[in-house]
Amino acid sequence: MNRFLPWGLLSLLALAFLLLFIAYPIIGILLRSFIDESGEFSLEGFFIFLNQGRYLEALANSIILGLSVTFCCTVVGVFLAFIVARFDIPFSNIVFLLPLSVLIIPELISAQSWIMVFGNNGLVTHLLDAFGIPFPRFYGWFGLIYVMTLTYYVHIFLAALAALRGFDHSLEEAGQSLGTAPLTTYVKVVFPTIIPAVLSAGLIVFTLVVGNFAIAISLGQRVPLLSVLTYRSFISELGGNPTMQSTLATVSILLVALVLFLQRWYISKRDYQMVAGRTPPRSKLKGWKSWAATGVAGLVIVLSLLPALVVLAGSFTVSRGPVMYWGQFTLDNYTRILDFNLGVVGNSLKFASLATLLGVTFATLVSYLLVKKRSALSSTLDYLLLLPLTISGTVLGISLAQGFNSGPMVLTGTAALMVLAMMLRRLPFGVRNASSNLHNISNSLEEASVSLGVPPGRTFFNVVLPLMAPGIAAAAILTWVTTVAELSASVVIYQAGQETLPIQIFRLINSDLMARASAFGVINMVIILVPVFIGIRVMKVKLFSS
Amino acid sequence: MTELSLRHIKKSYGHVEVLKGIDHQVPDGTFFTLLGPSGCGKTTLLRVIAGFVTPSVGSVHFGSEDVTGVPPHRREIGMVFQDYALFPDKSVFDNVAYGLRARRVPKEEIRRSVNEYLERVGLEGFGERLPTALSGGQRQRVALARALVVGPRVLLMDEPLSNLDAALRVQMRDVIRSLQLETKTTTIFVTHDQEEALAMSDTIAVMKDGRIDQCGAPDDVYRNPKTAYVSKFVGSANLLQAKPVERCNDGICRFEVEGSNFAGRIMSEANDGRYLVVARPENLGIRKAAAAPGECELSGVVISTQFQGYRTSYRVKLKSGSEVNVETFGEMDGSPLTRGDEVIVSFQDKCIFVPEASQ
Repeated sequence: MNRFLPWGLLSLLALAFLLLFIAYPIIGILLRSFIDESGEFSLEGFFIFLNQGRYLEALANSIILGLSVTFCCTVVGVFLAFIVARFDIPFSNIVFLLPLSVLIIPELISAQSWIMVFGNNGLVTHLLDAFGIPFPRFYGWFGLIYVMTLTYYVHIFLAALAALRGFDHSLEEAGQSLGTAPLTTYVKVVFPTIIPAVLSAGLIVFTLVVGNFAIAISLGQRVPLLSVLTYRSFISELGGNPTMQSTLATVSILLVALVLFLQRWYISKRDYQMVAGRTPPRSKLKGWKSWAATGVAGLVIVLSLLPALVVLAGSFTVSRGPVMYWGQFTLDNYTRILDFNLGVVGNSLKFASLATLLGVTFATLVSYLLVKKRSALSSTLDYLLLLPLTISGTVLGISLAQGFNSGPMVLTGTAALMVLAMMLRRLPFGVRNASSNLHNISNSLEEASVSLGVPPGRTFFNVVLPLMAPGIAAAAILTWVTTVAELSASVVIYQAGQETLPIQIFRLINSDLMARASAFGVINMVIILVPVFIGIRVMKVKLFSS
Repeated sequence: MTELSLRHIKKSYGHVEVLKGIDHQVPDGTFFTLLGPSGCGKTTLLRVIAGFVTPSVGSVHFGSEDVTGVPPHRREIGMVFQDYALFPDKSVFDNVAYGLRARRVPKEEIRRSVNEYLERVGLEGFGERLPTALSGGQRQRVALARALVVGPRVLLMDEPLSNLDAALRVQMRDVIRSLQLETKTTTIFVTHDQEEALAMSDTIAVMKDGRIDQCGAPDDVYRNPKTAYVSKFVGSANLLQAKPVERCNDGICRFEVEGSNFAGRIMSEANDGRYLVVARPENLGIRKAAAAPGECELSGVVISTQFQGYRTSYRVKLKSGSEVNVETFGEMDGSPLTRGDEVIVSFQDKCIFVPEASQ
């Protein structure tokens, strides 16, 4: 009766939206990898992939890079988490701001700032040069692993910290009472119990590295990588082979899907629940140990926050072409933006606002449907929402551009597609954020409202929405942050006049115009920072509760 | 003021039939309790009345109006939930005012009504507080005020006392019952607690497996259970197998129970002719065995005694090996009974007989 409408209808609409804008483009790109230019079934794409050395090399490089960065992130993240969880160090409060730094400093700006420090025209490079010390080339493996580690270690840090905090101290004491020394106890008892959390976060880091575009293209000129190759195959579309784009995209989808599958399988297999016990006490370190721990933690913090400072300084620095005149200050870089590039700022604000509005509305509705109004469609919705996780921004951009460049719905080249791409990338996380409070809202609350004469739709707005508000606010802020910084999907589909801040920064970095890129970078960070600041300080939003 | 009638209500989920045909009328202003163990369908029936569950067959009527197709928000009901279901972000005042605002009652009248009902439930001056600042009992009072302030046609309560501790529960019984009597609201109260049901209701319907097994005033259900199930679920009962010997015209029948002659009323007919005698512990007499047991009497041995102040309970093992509970009030004549004493248990003339098999 009235049970199916309106929730059933809304579920159906949400399903149709996801089928059209996620499933259809992705299935399309998978299918096109099996079709040659004449439209016949063929394995030509995969044949080329396996036989032209550079594709296999790129695949191998991506995997090696993924493993190396994951390893480095694990070392840094676990070590830092261990120090913060167990020892009373002077600036431990700052450590808890680290996750924020990753939000506020987009990875593109991070890559740019490190090029400004260690690159061909870098600060440190020149400094060492003056002393006659040659600096190893930053572009390539070294730079890639270094910058990506600093960008992604936070994932493992947070996972390890949560696991260490939840760790039952009495287990450790049990170990010690059986005659193991404290350090041995750690290695034997504590570390094994945090492995599931760390490994699970590590697999996420691996997928992020493999899908990474911004850092890979800025620093990886010498190292062919799957994501960069996929992007290039699309950019050179006129001369390129469309089958090859699809094939490369398919390979990276399969790679990420495989890793995510491994992660899920691993979690389901070794889910030993830790009984929430006493949080272990934080002890004071003495002597050199204290200095060492403080020093390492401090270094990680400084390196994480440094890019913001470098870009800030760079934006006020005089430059001629690629050469930075450090120490000479100017406002030129900003006035140029005011004079010529306000449209870029406008584009960023416009696209990100629309994507955030659309994304959060959709996430709120869908999370409500999935948690409170489960129907026959729900599990399909669940699965469709996982799809954006399996594809990198580049692949999403290509699949959207290919999927909507002909047929009844031509969106390629429109601003709508830009907004859509930005919104879709964040959607799974948005739904997770928005539903975080929903599980705690008892069904009887809605029934109470309905029994008092308020229809189900208005009950949703009166009763449920206010209680979902904290989760929705977190979803909105995080969606905003990621859409303002979005590069990999939008750079594939943008047209002239649709440049956003990250796209402009990307182009300036390519031309080695770092000072001008820095000014855009600062504006980009300010646009990100303002809502984050308001959310956390004024609205008391907990960004990392879920 | 509304009479509630349920006509032939059935509800199935897949192949599971949760309600198997409920036909019942609840007169206007009655406090009507659905009593039964979990899974008997009582909550489903309540939700059918509320409109949250649509019956597969049958209809619900409020007075002369058939409300089966009316969605819950247009049924003008009041509902009180086990977990209180107070809106956590709204103050006590706003919670109680919620239904009035939905009905677009003028502001001044809302203020007057809300304050009146807060006073009635003993919470005057609590209006500004948030639900989290209240105790469990206070929260349930707010929920009660919220449901009653709109003047519902029917008040529905789903185990409203089961989250409260024992002392509060007894106190809240009075609060609920006296408010119900003041407002004369037709009330459907769902509980699994027989004591609650007996203490509060005008009428009790004992439910079992999706059916109403027996329905009546509390003392009637207690004194005259029609089935073994009802006798055990409402109050405690001793049940012994009884063989019918002779059927009399005046409704009194003769039975043989464990070798003794018994007489009493048959509450409902057994299809297979097998009966149980039902005896409440407090209706049994007990005395030291001085002679052989007479009519309606059985001999046995005391196997435990419990002194509980105003009453004493004995557990007696009969000759046949079955055990019965006996309760006595006040002082016993002669010396107190102790473990191992040979006794005569007297069933007097208050025996009733019910079918052995559930039908």
